Amino acid sequence: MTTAPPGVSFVIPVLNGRRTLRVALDAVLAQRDGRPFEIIVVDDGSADGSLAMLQERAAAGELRLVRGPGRGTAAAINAGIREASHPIICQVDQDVIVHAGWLTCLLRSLADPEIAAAQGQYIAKPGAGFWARVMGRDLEQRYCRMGGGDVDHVCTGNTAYRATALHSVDLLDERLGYGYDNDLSYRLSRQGHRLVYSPEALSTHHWREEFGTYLRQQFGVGYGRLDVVARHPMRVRGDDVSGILMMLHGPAMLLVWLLMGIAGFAAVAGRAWLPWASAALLILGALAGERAIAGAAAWIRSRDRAALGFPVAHLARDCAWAFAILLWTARLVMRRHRGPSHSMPRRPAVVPAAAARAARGAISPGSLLVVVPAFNEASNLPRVISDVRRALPAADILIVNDGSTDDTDDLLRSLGVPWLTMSQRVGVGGAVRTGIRYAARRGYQYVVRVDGDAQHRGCDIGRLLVPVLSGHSHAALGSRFLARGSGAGLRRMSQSALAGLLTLLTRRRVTDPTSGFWLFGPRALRLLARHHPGGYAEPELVLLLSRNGLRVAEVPIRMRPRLSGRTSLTAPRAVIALARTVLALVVVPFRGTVEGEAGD
Amino acid sequence: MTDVVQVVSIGVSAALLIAVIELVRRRTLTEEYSFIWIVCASALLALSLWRNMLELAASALGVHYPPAVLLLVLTLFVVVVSLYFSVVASGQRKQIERLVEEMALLDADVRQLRDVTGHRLFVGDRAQNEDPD
Repeated sequence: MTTAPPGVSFVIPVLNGRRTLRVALDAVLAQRDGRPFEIIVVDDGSADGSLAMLQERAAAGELRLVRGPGRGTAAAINAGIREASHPIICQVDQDVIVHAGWLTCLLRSLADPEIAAAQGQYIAKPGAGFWARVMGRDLEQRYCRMGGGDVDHVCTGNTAYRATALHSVDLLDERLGYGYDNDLSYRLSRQGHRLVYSPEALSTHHWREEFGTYLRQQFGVGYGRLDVVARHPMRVRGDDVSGILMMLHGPAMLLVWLLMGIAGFAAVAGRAWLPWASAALLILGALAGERAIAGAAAWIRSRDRAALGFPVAHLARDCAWAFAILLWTARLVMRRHRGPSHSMPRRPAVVPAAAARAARGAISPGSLLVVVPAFNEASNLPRVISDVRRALPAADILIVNDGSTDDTDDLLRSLGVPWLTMSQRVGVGGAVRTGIRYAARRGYQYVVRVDGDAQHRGCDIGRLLVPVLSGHSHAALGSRFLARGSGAGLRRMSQSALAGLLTLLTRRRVTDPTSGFWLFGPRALRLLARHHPGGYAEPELVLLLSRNGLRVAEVPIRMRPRLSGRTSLTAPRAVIALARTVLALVVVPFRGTVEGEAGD
Repeated sequence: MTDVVQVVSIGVSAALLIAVIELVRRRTLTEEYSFIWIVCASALLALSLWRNMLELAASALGVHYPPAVLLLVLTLFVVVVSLYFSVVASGQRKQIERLVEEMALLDADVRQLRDVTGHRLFVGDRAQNEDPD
């Protein structure tokens, strides 16, 4: 052969993948064989340190780092594919370790120009936990039946695609949370492309280990499958990887639930319940039996005893699927379901840094005031001020000292910013209200509220400004749920209960109602100068604004860890805030609106 | 109702009424808050003096021992009064908060004015960001 071998672009989407990322990257780097080669890693907003590691390796020239749009895996992969410059695109997941020779095997398959994609074989990590092994052995067993050659579905994560084929079908469908690979495969097949399975190309998949994540993942898989079937109705019979028997499991489990329910009702009503219950048990037995046979086959092949757990694990999986069917149908019936959509809670798009920077630049001097309520934050205040000044030089800053007992008072004289001193402690709500009144008297149009503990980053103010400056909303709330994850006990529980309640009440998704990072526009300022709730007020604020017809946008932000001092949101406070909101749930509908009132 | 109970209840009610009036006279209690107390003390006194009404009320309520009605009225009254004072306290809290807030705003205004004009309010006033106290 005289022509140069085709170049290869690896696309790896990453979200909090530090656990396996380093090994996965090294394995990909080891595939280099002299042909043009690039690795594109799409970081979709990791908060576990993966990003720093990737930046390091990008600086070393090993890979190209692309910032993902934060709209899920499909969108991240697409972003990577668009950046890719070579005719072959290998899509590998962050928890997949490709073995030596993986690339060579898949490229051999792709030598035939009719073939658009070739998938390698997943093998389970030998020492993994039970759930991970069940997952792996099941997939192995399914692939094993297929042998090699043409298939009608290739999964993402372990696959080489021809770039022209991907572009001819407009890449992955970003609206799908799961099942986007099925959707892509079906669309490729329909266009006459061939897909193949190459069992010699091996890779180790690190499946998730815990039962909870296993179930959640299976729920997502089931939900995504329904989305896919809604688009490709013929696929109700499944494909080569997931056959008709597997497709039957979810509906069958739903039928079991239904029969059990009827049996229960019959028993309560004093009717004959035995026939219903036995029918349910019969179906359950059939499901378990089918899985037991598959498990035995997998055990004989792999000698892994986890395979014998198929009946139990897969009945749990079937329950997750049945639940997915229920929820999917319920949403369809309630018309909440505009076409196939994300199975997982969807994060709002992260405001791009460029837009945030532009918004910060659009602020003229004297129009924006940053209010910093502070109670005993003397050690953090200088950092807050320098941070805001650096991020937003045009903004004025006002410290509201809410009766601090430390040396905040003395410090204020040396900081060179205006301040208010509350002679009695009035609580953070009252402090912010005073700051807003100060702003209103001096003609500011926007007020940013930043906590005095330096946890909020000045550069995020621009992110809050974007929806308000564009007129999309009257106030913006910085939500830290991106950087969250390690919430503790009672406090976290009441926080999420609050969020759920407020979402219900305001009919808008609220994820972080206890956040202290706010931006208020002119209309919100007029309302709040009088009616900003006192005390520990943040959750009520969301409610008050929405009851008065003001739109509140939640914007994802990241927070710095608290450096010194203690948080004011203790577990009892969180519970009290929850109780107050529950009370508001009862009272507020009777209270009416307050805007335009003379005051109370 | 035995005479002893009646005498005691008349005595207590009368003492309450007199105490309230005396407090108002000395301006220790403002008229605004005295009203509810006077109403209560008079009602108790009336019930103690006018046995028929007490007995009528007791039989209407199905209470066998008429002086228990006095207790009932007293309890009811205590509940009403404490609710009333919760309302008053809430209002005052709001007023205090507003005052503290206004004061903070004025304080900032004064500081700013003094910084701008370098004006001294009184002899010994250190014009630089210093409170008069």
